[in-house]
Amino acid sequence: MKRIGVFICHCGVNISNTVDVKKVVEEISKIPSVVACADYQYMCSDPGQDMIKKAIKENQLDSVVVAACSPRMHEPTFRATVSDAGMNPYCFEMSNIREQCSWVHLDGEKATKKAIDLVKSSVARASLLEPLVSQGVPVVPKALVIGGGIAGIQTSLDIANSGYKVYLVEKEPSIGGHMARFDKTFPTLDCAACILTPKMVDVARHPNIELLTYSEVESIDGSVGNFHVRVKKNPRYVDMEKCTGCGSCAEACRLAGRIASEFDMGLGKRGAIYVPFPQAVPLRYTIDPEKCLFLKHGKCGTSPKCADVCTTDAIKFDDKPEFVEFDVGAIVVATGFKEFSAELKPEYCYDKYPNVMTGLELERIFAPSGPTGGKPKINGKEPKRIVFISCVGSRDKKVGNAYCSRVCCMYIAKQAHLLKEKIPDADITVMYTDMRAFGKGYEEFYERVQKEGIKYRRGNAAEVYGQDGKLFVRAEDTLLGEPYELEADLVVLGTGLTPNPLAEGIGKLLHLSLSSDGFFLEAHPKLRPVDTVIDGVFLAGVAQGPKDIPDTVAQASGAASHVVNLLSKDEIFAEPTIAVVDEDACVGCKTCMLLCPFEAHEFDEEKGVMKVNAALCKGCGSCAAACPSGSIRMNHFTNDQIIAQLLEVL
Amino acid sequence: MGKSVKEILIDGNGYACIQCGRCTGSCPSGRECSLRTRKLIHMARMGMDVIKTEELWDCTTCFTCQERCPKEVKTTDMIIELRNLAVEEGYFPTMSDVPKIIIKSLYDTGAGQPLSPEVSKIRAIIGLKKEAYDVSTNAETLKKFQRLLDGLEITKKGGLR
Ligand SMILES: Cc1cc2nc3c(=O)[nH]c(=O)nc-3n(C[C@H](O)[C@H](O)[C@H](O)COP(=O)(O)OP(=O)(O)OC[C@H]3O[C@@H](n4cnc5c(N)ncnc54)[C@H](O)[C@@H]3O)c2cc1C
Ligand code: SF4
Ligand code: SF4
Repeated sequence: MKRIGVFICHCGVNISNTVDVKKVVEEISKIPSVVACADYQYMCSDPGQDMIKKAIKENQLDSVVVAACSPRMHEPTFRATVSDAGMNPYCFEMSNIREQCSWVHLDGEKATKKAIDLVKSSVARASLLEPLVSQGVPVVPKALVIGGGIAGIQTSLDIANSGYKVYLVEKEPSIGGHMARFDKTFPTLDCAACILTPKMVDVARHPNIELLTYSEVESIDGSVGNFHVRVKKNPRYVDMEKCTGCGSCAEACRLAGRIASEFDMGLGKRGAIYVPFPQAVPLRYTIDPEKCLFLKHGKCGTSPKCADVCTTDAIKFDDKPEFVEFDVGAIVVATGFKEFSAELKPEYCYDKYPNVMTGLELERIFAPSGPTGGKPKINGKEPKRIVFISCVGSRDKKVGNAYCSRVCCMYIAKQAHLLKEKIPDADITVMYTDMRAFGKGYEEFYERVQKEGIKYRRGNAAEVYGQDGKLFVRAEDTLLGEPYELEADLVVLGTGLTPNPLAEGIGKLLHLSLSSDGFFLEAHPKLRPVDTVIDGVFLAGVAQGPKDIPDTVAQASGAASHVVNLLSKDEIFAEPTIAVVDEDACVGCKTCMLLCPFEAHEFDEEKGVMKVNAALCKGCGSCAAACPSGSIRMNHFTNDQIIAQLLEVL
Repeated sequence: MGKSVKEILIDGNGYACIQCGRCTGSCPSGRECSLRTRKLIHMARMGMDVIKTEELWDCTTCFTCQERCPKEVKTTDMIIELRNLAVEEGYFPTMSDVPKIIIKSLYDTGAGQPLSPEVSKIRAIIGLKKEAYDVSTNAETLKKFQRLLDGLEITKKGGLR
């Protein structure tokens, strides 16, 4: 018979106020295998832990049960405690008599009875626990960062500066993300390019960073410490080595100024050969294969003008996709967001009137490199009456976005300020739901723009309508309790941030979960905001949820520090609580292979049985429950252990 | 017994309201009168006497507000339910006698909104019978209908009995 020690915690008064702890000790002591049983005010404190260690040695215990809070809180603590006393940590069992008993029951007598049952069931399980040993696997000291916005840039630089190699994969021809589109940033009104481009250049020059732009991650296999990555480099039809970025080709292109520029939100024009913006990194030209006359029709006038003017012979019409493969130990997902599609709110007539525009479009109007050269002109005219509408696509269940986008209140304040600066006699009204100016210096900025003469009217816009060539916005001033309408030359929609559809594939490749808002789910909303439940995969920036640039950069550095933490280890130890296949019983039906959410099962062709990849298995148990021949055993959660535990509570 | 104000708020998702005012701003009726849809929700939530307000009866139940509300508050449904509660508690609008007029007309003629001579003319033009095909054109059926109404609380509260 196993020798078991049981320790009951009062958790201050959290448990003992409802559960009669002494009574539990009395009942549990009666179990023959329990050779030591005691209670203590705080089991997790140093004296509490010492008590357990002493009891292990004095009573030669085989297993230990602590009845206290949730194992999510202190299982790691007590596993370490028993380890210190020479016991295998997997011979420790925790009974939750706080969250699952004292906190949820009022009747002390019944709660005490339930606590006794819970502890008894833990003792039954503890007597069947077996020692398990973690396998060490070596770590590849390199990282993959997906997405080259400010989040990916910051993470890459931090990891690279710690001495580890980084592969930075960006889908677009240049890194920079959304921030590269802004003229100024709130609340300090820093010039976005002045603070972003130095970092972009650092990325390009860093000896530890390999920049893969215009590229996509095709597949990711393996697991923490040892991911195998395959990246597709899309053909640019320009030789990256030869192109000097002089831009003669773009000027010469027959389609120059005739194709809507994605970077300018369709407001500006580019040619078929282009760079998204003048400070692009890398400053290398790209031919748009969907538009280029030569690539589409095999003919561009008498000869392609770009090739004619290029002095370095960089145009390469026969360019093909290239594939690169490499191994990394850790991955950071920094795939950012997509601006809310304003046409989903038909009452704001975004589709209908050119002088109804989105926040991101207005950013391009401000930008010196933008479609109007930084002049605030809408349809060639300076707008005088301007209305901003907040929360477009945020806090809006109608379009499925229940969340607040956290940046629109402030970017509206910034944009209103910039317009006022450029058009001093403009009459600017902000229609808002609630004002959220929570960041450092934000409330002060909100006050400042009101002093500058921006009118804030509480109550959001109900509709935009046009009449006789004029544009009107209707709303209620909720502080006055009066409906009103304003004529406007320009209506700016404070569009929110939504999950990036370009990141869906990455989420699937990595088996990442989404939170209810559609952004990637972190491992814990408070304590593990940069981790995911997949070991070795981290999140940075808006990919995890809406945030401004300061928060994005902070999280990006946080993700980098977790990556560095992981890469600095020679070996990592995976949890041994995984599925094990009984090769004699397995018939190779592959049911498990279809079910496993982590693709941890492989078929061993030679033996005709399944194999579990220990590094991929998360111990979820789906396979064990489904296996028709019952040949999968879950370490630490064997059928015997679970049934013994259940019998005590039934 | 019908629902309480609180139950109406819960069923109508009224506690989700963020007082953004998009309902009032959308309300075609509120442009002409003192109806402030948002304010009705606020009053209901604050435990004020929302069922005694006259504005409750200014809504034309066009549903524009409910269609636009970003928080899926069932504004119009709630207004209808609040009216039911108001009648149950004996609060008919005093300023506007419209509901009473409608009930009386329903009782007397069988139609809440009897055909006006203008409408009858239009009906004739498009080839319909001048009168409607309902209880209002059949004296015997109308009597039976009135007997049915006599059994209802609403005719009493509307001051007919
Ligand atoms: C109109 C507007 C104005 C704003 N103004 C301000 C401001 O003044 N101050 C402020 O602090 N914040 C502002 N913000 C917020 C700011 O934009 C974000 O905080 C910031 O851009 C987040 O950076 P990110 O790197 O997480 O995402 P992004 O900037 O979206 O970058 C993500 C990058 O990942 C790439 N990518 C996506 N999917 C893939 C894939 N599958 N493979 C490879 N690459 C991929 C994208 O191409 C992109 O380059 C504003 C937002 C908006 C909409
Ligand atoms: S539109 Fe909806 S959320 Fe906004 S004030 Fe009206 S009921 Fe409340
Ligand atoms: S349903 Fe009533 S309150 Fe709502 S918009 Fe129409 S008239 Fe106004």
